Amino acid sequence: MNVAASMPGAAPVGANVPAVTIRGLSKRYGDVPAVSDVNLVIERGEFFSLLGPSGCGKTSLLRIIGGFESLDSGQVLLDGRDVSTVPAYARNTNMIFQNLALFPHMTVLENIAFGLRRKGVGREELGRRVDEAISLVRLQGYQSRMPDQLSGGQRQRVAMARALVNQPSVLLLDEPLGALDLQLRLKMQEDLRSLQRTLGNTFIFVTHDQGEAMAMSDRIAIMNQGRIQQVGTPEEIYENPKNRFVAEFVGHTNLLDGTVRDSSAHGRVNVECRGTIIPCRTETDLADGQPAVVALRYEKLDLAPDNECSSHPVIFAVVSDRTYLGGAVRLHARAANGLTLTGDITDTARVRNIAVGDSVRLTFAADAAVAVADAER
Amino acid sequence: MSTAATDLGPSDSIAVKKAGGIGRSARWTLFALLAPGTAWLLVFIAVPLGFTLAMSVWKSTILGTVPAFQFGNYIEALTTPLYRDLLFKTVRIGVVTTVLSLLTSYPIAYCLAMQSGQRKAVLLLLLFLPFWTSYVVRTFVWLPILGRTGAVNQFLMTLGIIHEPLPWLLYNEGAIYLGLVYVYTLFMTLPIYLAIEKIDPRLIEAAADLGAKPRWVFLRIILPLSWPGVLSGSLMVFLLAVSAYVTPQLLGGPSGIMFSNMIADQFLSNNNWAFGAALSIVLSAVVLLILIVAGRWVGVHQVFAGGRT
Repeated sequence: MNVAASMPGAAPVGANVPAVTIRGLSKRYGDVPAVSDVNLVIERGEFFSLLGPSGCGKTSLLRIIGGFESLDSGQVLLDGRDVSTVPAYARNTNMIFQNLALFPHMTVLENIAFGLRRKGVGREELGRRVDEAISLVRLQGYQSRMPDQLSGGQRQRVAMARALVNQPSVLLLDEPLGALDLQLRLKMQEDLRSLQRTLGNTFIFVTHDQGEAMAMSDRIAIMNQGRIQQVGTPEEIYENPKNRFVAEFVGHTNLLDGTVRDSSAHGRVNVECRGTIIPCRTETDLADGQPAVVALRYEKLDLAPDNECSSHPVIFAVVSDRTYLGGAVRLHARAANGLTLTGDITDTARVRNIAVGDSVRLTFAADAAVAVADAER
Repeated sequence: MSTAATDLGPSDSIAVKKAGGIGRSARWTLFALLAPGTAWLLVFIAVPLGFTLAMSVWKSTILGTVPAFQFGNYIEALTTPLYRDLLFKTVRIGVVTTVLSLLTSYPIAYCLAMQSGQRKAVLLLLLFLPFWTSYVVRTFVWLPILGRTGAVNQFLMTLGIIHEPLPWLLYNEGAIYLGLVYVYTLFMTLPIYLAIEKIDPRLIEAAADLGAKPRWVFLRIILPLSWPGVLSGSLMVFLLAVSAYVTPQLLGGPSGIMFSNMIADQFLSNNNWAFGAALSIVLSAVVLLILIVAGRWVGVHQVFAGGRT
């Protein structure tokens, strides 16, 4: 496909206008708030993921952007234009549905040409653009098949071609990979990512799979209970979770409740958890005596060296459970003061001899632990 | 069965030996499974039809209907202008009734399918309600509504819009259509409703997403996907309308004589069973021919193949 031709040049706006701007958006179903006061700016050409557990409002938000749901308050701007009251058929967005929603009574070709036909694109251009889309998703030779004669991956690619052929300024993807088996899923993730890089369209991808979001996205918005918890690059989200929910939802994390003890240094605090002082990084302003949560990833924990005195914090604990994971061994350990920790130990040579009931000295790098304010207490 | 045999693989000697055919026990199972259906078809369709077919070449005399083999009945049925005209008229009424019924029932079915929850349940109940009474009663109620001293005339005269009863409300072809469409609404509405109901709402959203305005969503998505319902509804209403004779007679007056009235008369008053049988066969043959020709054109096989082409 001709990349230059398929760039969303249809929008006559400067390149610095964000693809999507959402301001103070709220939506309720009856008494249940689905989306609460969401503010979001998605830049042009971004691969942006909405990540959260089911029922967190991510699909509602996507459907509001696509025009399938009305909004109660707030604004949705596409390419700088307020589309809050514009119906779905008049928005320059296209959606890939969770169940793909291919038209069962139309061939692959008719499915893909549907959008262009509705827009009254001339016969010649229509043929050319459909051909381009078909070769983009490598479906040559399948034009006259019906959707029920295709495999899962092929159906997926028809759905992509059907959406992308319209050169939408924003492509909305509602967990389209959910139904695929793992192998195909990984393959489609790659395909989607490279497609997005080639075309330069803005993708908004809804998923509950953090691995998927991490692997594919430029930026991620973590949602819970209709609210955005944190927006950032996968790295920012993983390394600097802003609150307890994000820390818990992304990756495997020890969450230790404690109290802030020493907040004098900028960006560093000590948190006392059941009497153990844990030095932490922090991005939030925490005051002495304030309750806080320490987030410590499983894989950041390690066994302390036997002989030498380390500058790193060391916690003495007794192994209560041991799980072999292949690349690592997961140890559940309990300190004398009741503090429980889980660590994925990759030093297999040393962890090999450790059994349930053994005493271990767990350690972690000085910047491994992150302290966040405990909003829930 | 042959696919089952291939799936079992070469280790299953019985399956291999019988591969390509049906095993003895499998044959008996197949027979046992088919028996009830076959018996039903035989008793209720093949036997009566065969008997009618046989009787159509018999002879009716004053002493009764006696076996024979002659085509006099058919020759009379096909050459007498009265019967020929009546046949055309009956088919015409059947076609017009089907079209009118489709035009009224589709919107009803569509609205019904778009409702949800309790409101839908109530509306469905209202749709079914008239059908709890007899067919004859449902037809008969139109007489006190449309008659000279009926509700419509009384109402219009009370309002002063007319000064004497309108005579043309009843006993003409229009009244026949009204009656037939009303009496058979359910047979058209229900299959269409079920077909629309089955459409995945995501398809409608996807069409809108691709830029289709509501009109195009209807023409390109909803209508084609509910087409099997339209066809099965039309098929039923057409068959029922073509063989109707109570409603046309009650509401149509002198213009209400249908081909089926002729058939009924042969059996009930003329005592000419052989001729009645021949008329029945002629009507059946014509209807079958129409269905084959029309079926090619609109794809009736979809009705029986569950919407797949």
